[in-house]
Amino acid sequence: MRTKRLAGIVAAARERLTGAGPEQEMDEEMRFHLEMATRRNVERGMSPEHARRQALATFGGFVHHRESAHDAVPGQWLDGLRQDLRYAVRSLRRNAGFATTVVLTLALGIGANTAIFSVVNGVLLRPLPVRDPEQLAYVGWTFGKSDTIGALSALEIDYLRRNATAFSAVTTYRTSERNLGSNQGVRPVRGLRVAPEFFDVIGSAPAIGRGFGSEEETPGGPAAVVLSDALWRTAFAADRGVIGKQIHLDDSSFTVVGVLSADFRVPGESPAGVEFIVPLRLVIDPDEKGNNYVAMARLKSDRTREQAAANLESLGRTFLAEHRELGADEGYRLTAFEEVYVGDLRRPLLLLLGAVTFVLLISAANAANLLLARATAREREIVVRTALGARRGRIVRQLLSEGVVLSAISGVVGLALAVWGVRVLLALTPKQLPRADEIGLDYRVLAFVAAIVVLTGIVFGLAAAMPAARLNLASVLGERTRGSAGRQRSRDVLVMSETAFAVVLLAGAGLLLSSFARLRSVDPGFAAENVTAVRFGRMPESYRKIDAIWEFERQLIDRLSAPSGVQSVAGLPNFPLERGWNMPVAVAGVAESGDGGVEFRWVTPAYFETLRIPLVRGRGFSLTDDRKAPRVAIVNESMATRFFPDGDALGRQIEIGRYKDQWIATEFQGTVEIVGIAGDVREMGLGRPPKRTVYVPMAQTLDRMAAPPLLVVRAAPGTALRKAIEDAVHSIDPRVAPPRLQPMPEIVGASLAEQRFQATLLTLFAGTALVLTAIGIFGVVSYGVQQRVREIGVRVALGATSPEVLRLIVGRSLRFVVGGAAVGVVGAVALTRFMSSFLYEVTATDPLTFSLAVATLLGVAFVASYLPARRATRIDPIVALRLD
Amino acid sequence: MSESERGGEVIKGTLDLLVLKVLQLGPMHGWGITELIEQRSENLLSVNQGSLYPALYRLVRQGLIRSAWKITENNRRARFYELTAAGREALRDERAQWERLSRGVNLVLRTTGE
Repeated sequence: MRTKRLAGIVAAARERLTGAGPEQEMDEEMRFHLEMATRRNVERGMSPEHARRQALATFGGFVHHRESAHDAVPGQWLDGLRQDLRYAVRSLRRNAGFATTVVLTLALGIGANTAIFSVVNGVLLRPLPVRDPEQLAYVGWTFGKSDTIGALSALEIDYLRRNATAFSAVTTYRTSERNLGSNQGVRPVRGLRVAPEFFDVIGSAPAIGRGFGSEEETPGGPAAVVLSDALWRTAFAADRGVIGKQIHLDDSSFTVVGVLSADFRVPGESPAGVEFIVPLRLVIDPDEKGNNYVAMARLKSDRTREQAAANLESLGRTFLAEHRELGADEGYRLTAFEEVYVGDLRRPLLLLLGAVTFVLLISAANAANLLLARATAREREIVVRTALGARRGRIVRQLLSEGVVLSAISGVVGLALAVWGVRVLLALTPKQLPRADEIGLDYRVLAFVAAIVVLTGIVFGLAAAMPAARLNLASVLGERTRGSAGRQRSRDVLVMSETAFAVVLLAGAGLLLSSFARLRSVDPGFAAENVTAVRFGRMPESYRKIDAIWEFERQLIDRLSAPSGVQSVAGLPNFPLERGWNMPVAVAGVAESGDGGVEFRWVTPAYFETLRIPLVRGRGFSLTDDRKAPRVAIVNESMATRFFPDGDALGRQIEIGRYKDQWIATEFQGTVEIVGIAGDVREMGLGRPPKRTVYVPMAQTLDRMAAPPLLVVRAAPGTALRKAIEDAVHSIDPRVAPPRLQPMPEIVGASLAEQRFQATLLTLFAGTALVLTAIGIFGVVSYGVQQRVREIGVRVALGATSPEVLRLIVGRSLRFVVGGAAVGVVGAVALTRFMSSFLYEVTATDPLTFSLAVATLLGVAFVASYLPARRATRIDPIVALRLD
Repeated sequence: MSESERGGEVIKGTLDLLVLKVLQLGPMHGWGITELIEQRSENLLSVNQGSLYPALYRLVRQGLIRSAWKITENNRRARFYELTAAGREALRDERAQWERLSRGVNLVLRTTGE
């Protein structure tokens, strides 16, 4: 008996699973049957109420029985889930328009979130591509109050390597560009020159062969090179026999001793920048105090960062005691490696991640709203199913499955959007975004997407399902059901929260935009229009001396002045807004004068004219200011007032390269006369105050400043500059490769890349939020009008005018919008505080920006409510009252 | 008509036969099948929906009947069932079997005690 019964249950379950008709068709069939039975009962003279009860009674809880039979079979819940999902997919397919709207809304939110998260993941979350990155540190030399990492001298690096007990290895490296000669011709390659212990610090040895031996690291030793995996494959056909062979870099020959593994990375350097590695032979000059090497160190595994810092502090004291002649009084400083590597990106990225989360919340709220509206449309179906005995849990489960199916589809679409979005993001990001090559889809990103898909699916599915679960037989079949108060309340809350989120985003975007606009309008102190930046690459060996560079530039300037269109040309050490040199400067004869350092620029005479930097007083440089003439300098206004607060700087003597009673190198010794005062230039960034700067003629600088030439050319628009420059270079020295040209305004623009990036993205997010919110409000108001057709009809019949109806509808909608906006303003005040470091001359609670944000939102909300409200004014009372 | 006068439930096993028979008259929706069975049996028989629809789905699965959505004369969408060729054959067999069975039952019932 028992087994028979069980068999029956199993059969019932099987029947249900493979049932003849899709489940919702079955429902429709039941409903039809129920209606017919009710009608017959009425025809037989029952009251409608009795008729329906009677009809329901003959059903005998059919659906319920089937479901209990189904659920009673152990292990069948999985099939139930499958059933739910199949049902959800089918029902969504029948409402393709609805499903598409929800999917697009959600996909937008998910896609934007995933894109930003991919970047955050690549830059901040993924472990650094080196062994035990937490053991890595930068060692710097604190210099004045400056908080940038100070670099160390070769002497100090050597000292640390020999004496630091907390580190297992200390090293440094420089980037290098060479020409690789092979039988396929010459090709430029980029690589590193590395100090001893480099591979120990990185924590990875070459995959084939070895690193450098000590004799290869000492000056005069055999020349050795390690190749990157990529270079080994492209230029040497992945031949293992390359070890021990000779290759040519520039004019010298090197023995290949190793090949790096494919995943070898030097943090902070792009893989394309590490094609080869050669030893950097540090020349330790006890007299030299130039801090030119950034020291990287690896902590011993049993040392903490605090122990290392303490070790460095005492080393700093001993070093200074041993080298009194170097006369500085600062100590060493340890900086977490990751901090330097990822730099200032943590906060901007977290800002973007926070902002984009708001977009997701808004899109989820919108999707929930749509689902709610649909749930109302399906009320009848739900009631029937409840009446047929389907349990409430079952119905909630079904609505939830729809939510999850919708958000899963959105997740897939969102992921596709994100792949594209990351590409756009990377194109938009400031060039120096570290670890850009590590950004992409990995398991973390996929897990992130899965998590937000499930969460949004459940959250917005529940938002739609909860009111449905409260439905009951009181509003059974055939009766036009009005949105219950509970349902309307959830909708209003959704509108309020959307509005609040949108206001926060608008305020944030507004702050960044107005700050960006202010930065754009800052006067940099020079005129970039019509100026072209000319950048030479590696120069031939004969240009090692500054005089050779100067001679080259002088000839080039001569030749370029000839063609029509070129107005002036000047040589300079670095372009404004790019990194330059820093030099201690003191007032001649005054021991305790000057400070940490001033910007140091060696330029050719037409520099000020070309960049339109005004000469406030005195004279500019001329060609006669050369080695034979007395040394002269021009200082900017900031420096003049700082160094000579109570007198005229003109004609005064300064000492460039002296700090307290020490010269940074003997060759700097001597006094320099100030012959002119120039206007301030915001060289450090448009948002930062001008730095004190000293200019000297290029013809009077030292060989250590010799570097590939940089020029600025002011030319009339439309001048064929590239051809003129290439011809001139070729006629002076055909061995010199043609330079790269870049419009100066582009360099100015690039200096704002980060601000532009943030402002663009946040504006994009705020715009999306605004559109989504508008859609949300539009939907809710349209729905509200539809629900109140009858009431409005009565009002119109009683003499309400169109404006009154409009006021009624729009007013109700705006009440919630205003409520949301108020919450949003409070939220924005609380949240924008975290943005203050990104802002320029705008306070984080700028009242104007906040008012604009609220006004924009209210305007959009008004339009979004007005459009559907206008439909209400066209309601014909007769028609309206005839409904139902 | 009050409930007590309504007919008894269709005997197990005969519902399929009745459904097939009714559908021989032409395509019909579930409600119509119920009505027809009740009318034709002069209300001696009534069909519980809880057995009718499972029976219909079972017959569909067995390929004896098929269903399609159509519009009723009242302009409502409803699922209509109709016999398939296999169904017609099954009806013949079942009917013959039923007649044999009922004849047998009747014969037994008519026997008078000795």
